[in-house]
Amino acid sequence: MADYEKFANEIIDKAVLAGALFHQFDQYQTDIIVKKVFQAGFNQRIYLAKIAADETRLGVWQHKVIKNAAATLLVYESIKNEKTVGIIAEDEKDGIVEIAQPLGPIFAVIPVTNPTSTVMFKVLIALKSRNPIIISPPAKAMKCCAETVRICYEAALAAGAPEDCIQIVPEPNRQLTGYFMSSQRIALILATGGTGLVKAAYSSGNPALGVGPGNVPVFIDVSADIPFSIENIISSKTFDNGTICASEQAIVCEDSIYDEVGKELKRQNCYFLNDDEIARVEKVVYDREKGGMSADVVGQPVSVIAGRAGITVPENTRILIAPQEQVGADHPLSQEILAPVLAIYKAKNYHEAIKICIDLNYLGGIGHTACIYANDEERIRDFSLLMNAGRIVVNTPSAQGAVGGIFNILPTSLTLGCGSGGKNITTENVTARHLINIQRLCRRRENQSWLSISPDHLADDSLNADFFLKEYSKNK
Amino acid sequence: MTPKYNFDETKNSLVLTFDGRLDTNYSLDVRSAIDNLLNDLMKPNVDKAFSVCFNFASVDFISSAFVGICVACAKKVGKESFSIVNTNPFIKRTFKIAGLDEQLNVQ
Repeated sequence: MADYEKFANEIIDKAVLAGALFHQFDQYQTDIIVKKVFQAGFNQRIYLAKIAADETRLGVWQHKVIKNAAATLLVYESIKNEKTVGIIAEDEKDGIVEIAQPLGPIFAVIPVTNPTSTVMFKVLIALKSRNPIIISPPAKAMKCCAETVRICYEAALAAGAPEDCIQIVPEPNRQLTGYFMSSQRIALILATGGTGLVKAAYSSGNPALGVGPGNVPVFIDVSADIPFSIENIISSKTFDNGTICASEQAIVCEDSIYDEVGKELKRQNCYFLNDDEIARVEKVVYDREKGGMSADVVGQPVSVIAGRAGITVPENTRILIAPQEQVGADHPLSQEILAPVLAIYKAKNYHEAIKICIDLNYLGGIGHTACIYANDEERIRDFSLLMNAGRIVVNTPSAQGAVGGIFNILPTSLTLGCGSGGKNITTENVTARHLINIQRLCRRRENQSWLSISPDHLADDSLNADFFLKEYSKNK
Repeated sequence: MTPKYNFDETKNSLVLTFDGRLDTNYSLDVRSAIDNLLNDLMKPNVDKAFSVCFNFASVDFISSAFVGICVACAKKVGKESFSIVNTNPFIKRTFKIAGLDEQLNVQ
């Protein structure tokens, strides 16, 4: 056995034991642990935000404070009353009793964009479901993740949680991560990260809950309140310098309101790039060899991006706006850029606008999030039916809206399922209830309609489906 | 703090009886007492087979620290000479999930 395998197995051994011991905890004991860990994480939200920003050199520490607060307070609020231990539902009439059991050791991969908040979120949902968790931090956020784990683990232990219920892989690498993912003793992989990572998780042979990439279109309808829409879009796209994958990537509106939208964007300190500037920004934010955004622009402020592109913009510029006409692989700014760079499309009419949204949605963001600003119910419904998105947020900043718990009642989550389009098993916001096995105790309730069908009739080739449908519903 | 025990000199076997919650604090309290007891009893009979049995008849919770005591004890006397008996089904399942039921002869 190689050294890295021995190293991984020591961690897994401890996690397996912690998982076994966790089975002994009832709902009350579990909830106390979750509450104490939430409090400890929340109380360190500012410290953790600052060290995350310092170490990763991306985002805005003040916004990371908000992320840490949401990942603790809002996550706690959304799960605190959930039943996750033992009998969680009983239906006397149907004779079904639902029993929650923990899954076992969870291997959790953390993204560099939201390191401390994602650690706290995953720890809370794992503990709520009585699962031990092994945190695999990104190379550029190891220290802040280790500190977050330390804070959560100390609080968990003080509340009586099993030893080793939260562990961290000190220096993960591709080989080690692969070994953890494919270990028979890992119960589930919580994979938040890029497409390659999520694919590796799903290919490991273990169950996995992953995420997909986003490319969020935001449609501003003619019925929308334009100043309100722009204010919301800016608050979302600039949040933590655009690191949230549910943030807006392109505004789409009809010709008739394009000038008004543009005027409002300018009034709220967004800068419209000209063709030459667009070409310069494209080179900075897009890696043509890789075929995606450049890793080193993620979470960078406008000033840095403009500086690298060699363009001069007003000091108070909040977002760089890039007017676009085409959508596709050859048009870098029609793709996901997790930084304050936003495309805008002018459509001839409503149908053209929606078709552009469909193109954007299917260009690398299938199943993730779509956004509409409108006050026309029919158009909101149309848009929702046409988008392939786990979350279609209405009159809401999409980054904060998709995460849930702030502008809607979606469960607060930092792992947003993208369904089959994103190669995920769920479109839901992943939370504690995804981390339990639900066993069903089934009492005898005979299906008399089925039992009344004669086996002789079933064996009679002359009787067809219509006959049996009548038999099945006879005397009802 | 030494737990209740019974030593059968003819069979050279020690039965330790535990009850209630074997949590971390309790485990820290009894760890050295168990270790000392084993040393005292094993020393005069170093050439003879020696067995240890943990009676869990009234145990309803175990901690990681106590599992550590079980593993250390089994290592000291040899796997074949260590057993845990009278576990309730919940404790039995805990050892099963931990993958330690065979290693510790949990009955």
